[in-house]
Amino acid sequence: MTLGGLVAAGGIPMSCDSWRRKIIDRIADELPEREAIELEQHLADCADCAAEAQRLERLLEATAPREEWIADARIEDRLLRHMRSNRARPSLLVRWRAAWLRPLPAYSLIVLGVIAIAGGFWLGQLSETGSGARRIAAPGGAATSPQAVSPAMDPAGHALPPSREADEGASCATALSDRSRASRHGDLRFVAVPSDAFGWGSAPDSL
Amino acid sequence: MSMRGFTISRRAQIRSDDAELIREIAHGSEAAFSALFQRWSPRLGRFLQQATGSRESAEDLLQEAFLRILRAAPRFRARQSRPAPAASAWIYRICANLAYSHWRRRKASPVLDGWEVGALPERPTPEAADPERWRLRRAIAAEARAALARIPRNQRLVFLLKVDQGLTYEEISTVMGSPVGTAKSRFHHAVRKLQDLMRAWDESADSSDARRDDARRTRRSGRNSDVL
Repeated sequence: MTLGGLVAAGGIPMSCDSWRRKIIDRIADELPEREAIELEQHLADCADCAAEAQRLERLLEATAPREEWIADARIEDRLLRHMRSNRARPSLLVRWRAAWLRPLPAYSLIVLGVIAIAGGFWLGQLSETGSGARRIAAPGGAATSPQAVSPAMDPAGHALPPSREADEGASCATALSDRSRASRHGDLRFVAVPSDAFGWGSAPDSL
Repeated sequence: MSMRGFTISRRAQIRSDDAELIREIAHGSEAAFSALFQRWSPRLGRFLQQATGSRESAEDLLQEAFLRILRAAPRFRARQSRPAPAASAWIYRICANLAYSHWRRRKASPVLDGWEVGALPERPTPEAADPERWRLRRAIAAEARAALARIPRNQRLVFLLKVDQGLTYEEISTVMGSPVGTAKSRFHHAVRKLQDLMRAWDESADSSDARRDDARRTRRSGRNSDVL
């Protein structure tokens, strides 16, 4: 049983404010049949609510439209012309979508992207391997470089004459370089080394 | 005393082929567009005229509404998994947004000059037995239109969708994207506010009814005395 039914049966009293909400729903054709019957029973007993119902009916009846609205035919003509012109030349967005959002170009883009990412990763791996080998070869290469010696400077900034050690070091480096080159090529040859290359003094003429 | 029996009739006829027409429009069918226009322009035009207060504004907004339908038809087609009533809700939502835009532009002057009374014709129809009552109703209709412009936009929209278009609370909630209870409470608030704004007209209508009832009783008693 609904609340209104309980009220009608003499149970819980419902305020007129609640009944007036039901009046609005009744006029709006939103009140269930059973509640509509209960409302009619209440209106038969309550003059205030009955008067309120009449006022609401009058208000909503006055605001409800009665005349048929007929659109100007030119509106439809303009809209159809617009439709035809758009069909002849689709918008840039529509054309872009048609070109790029179809499956084949989209999948091609995805595949190219995957290849680019994988290729970049592979190249990165390669470069790491190559720089490691160069680091291993660096010490020997640096020692054999004949141009490692730089001219010394005095406090006044004048270049000092190259020292004998520097010369001998350079020639030694050159000799070592030749020797290492010879050994690489499998051809061991004695290279002439200056007699005092290591600073041990010249060999005595005789013992 | 019982209610006179007036109820807001449901004018919105939800047709399952509205969605089909929109799908065909998305494919470029002019025939489908013409059919949709013929079917919807009378009710949408009337709704927009109620919302704007002038026929000229209503025609402008009606044209804009169908332009939006044309542009958005492909997107509606993509979401056709919804049941058929979504087509009418979709169309009403477009018109509701246009009405909101119109009200925002005119927010400083909600009461429009030259508000056209579209509810009742100028002269009482031959069927109207009581010319005085007819004129009173027409005056109440004009006053109601002006009062409608003074209530909040959400309530105004719900009132128009309910009274003018005959949508149910559930359909209104779908159009506005709000719960059914919200649509119901907004309609109730709109009716109450209109009633408060039109209290003077209510009283004059009450007195007019009272005078008419007195006249009827007098005529009846006169006949009875003649019989006696």
